[in-house]
Amino acid sequence: MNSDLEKKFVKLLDEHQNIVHKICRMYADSQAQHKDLFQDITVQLWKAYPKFRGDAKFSTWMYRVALNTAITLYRKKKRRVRTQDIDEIGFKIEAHQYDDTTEQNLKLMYAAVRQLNDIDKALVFLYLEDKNYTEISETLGISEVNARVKMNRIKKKLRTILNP
Amino acid sequence: MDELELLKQDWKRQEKSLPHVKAEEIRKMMHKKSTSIVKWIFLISIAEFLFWIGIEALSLFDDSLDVIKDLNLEIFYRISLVVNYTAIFIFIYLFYRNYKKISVNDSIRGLMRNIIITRKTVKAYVLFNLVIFSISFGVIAYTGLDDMLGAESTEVKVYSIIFMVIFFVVVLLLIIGFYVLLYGILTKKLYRNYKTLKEIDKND
Repeated sequence: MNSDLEKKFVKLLDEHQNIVHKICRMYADSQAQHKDLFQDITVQLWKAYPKFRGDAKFSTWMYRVALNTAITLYRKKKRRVRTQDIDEIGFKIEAHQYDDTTEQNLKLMYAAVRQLNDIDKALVFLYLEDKNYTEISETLGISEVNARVKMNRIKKKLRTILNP
Repeated sequence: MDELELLKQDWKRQEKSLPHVKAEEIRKMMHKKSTSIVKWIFLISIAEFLFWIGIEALSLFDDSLDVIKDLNLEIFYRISLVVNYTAIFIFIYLFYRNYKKISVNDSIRGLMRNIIITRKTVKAYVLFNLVIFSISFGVIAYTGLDDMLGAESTEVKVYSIIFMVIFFVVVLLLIIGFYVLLYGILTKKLYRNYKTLKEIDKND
C-alpha cells in the first residue's frame, strides 16, 4: 500500500475526525457502538479514498461516505445497552450557559432528535452542520425542494414537542 | 429564537466534548475488516449461485440421467440444461455488473438503490431456479408416477399425487421461510430507509 497515500489520509482524517464522531453520536446507542461505528467509517473511508477526487472538499466527501456507512452499511452488533452507556454517549449540555428553561428545551430537543428515523436524523445532522440545501439534497439523493419541505416538517415536529 | 437555531448553536459547543482518536489508532483501524452488509450480501449471493450450480452439477453425476432416459424425457432434459446454463451466465454477468455499481461515494439513496438492484438480480435468479425446479419436479413426478403406478387403482394414484404435492409445498415453504428470515435480518433496515427516502421524494 502506498505509504504516502496512507500518511495523507491519516492526517486528513485526524483533522476532520470530529465529523465522524458527531455522526457516531447521532447513530450509536452506546459507547461500544460509537467505537465500532467509528472504526467501520474509518475502514470505508480508507477503502474509498483512492476514488476521492480533489474536486470536492475532503470534508464534503467525508460526510457522504460516513453517513452512507452509518445508515446503510453498518450492522449494529447485538449488545446489551446499559443506561449508563446512554448517559456517556449523550449530548452534553453545559448547564451554566443557559437558564433552566433553555437547558430543559435543549435536553428535549436532543432527545427528540435521537428518536427520529435514520433519514430524518441525517437531514437534521446536515442542517446542524450548516450545510445548504443543495449539499443536503445531493448527499441524500433527493430533490432540493423536497429536502426543504421535509426539513420544515421536522422543524414543526420538534416545535410541537417543545410546545405541546 | 427559533428552537432549531438554538440547537444549532449548542451543536457547535458539542465539539468540545467529543472524543479524540490518535493518528496511530486511526492507522490501526484502517486495516481492520468492516462489517458492511454489502460484504455479507456478496458472500451470500455467491453461495446462492454456487448452491444452484452445485445442484445442477450433481444431476450430471448421479443416476438421475438413467431415470430421465427411462422416462423418455431426454429432450426435456437437454432443453432445461441449455436454459439453465444460459441463465447462469446471464445472471452472473448482471450480478457482477450491478455489484460493481455499488459505491460508498454515491448519494445515500443511490447507494441503497444499487444494493437493492444487486439483491434483486440474485432474487430473480433464485426465483428462476424455483420455477425451473417446480416444472422439472412436476414433469418428472407426473411421468414417473404414471410409469410406476400404471396398473394401480385410481385411489392410489390420487393419494400419491396428493402426497407429492404436499411434499413439494413443504420444501418450497422451507426455502421461502429461510429466505425471509435470512434477508429479513440483513436488509430490513435498508428497505425501511429506502422507503422513507422514496416517500420524501414522491412529489417529483
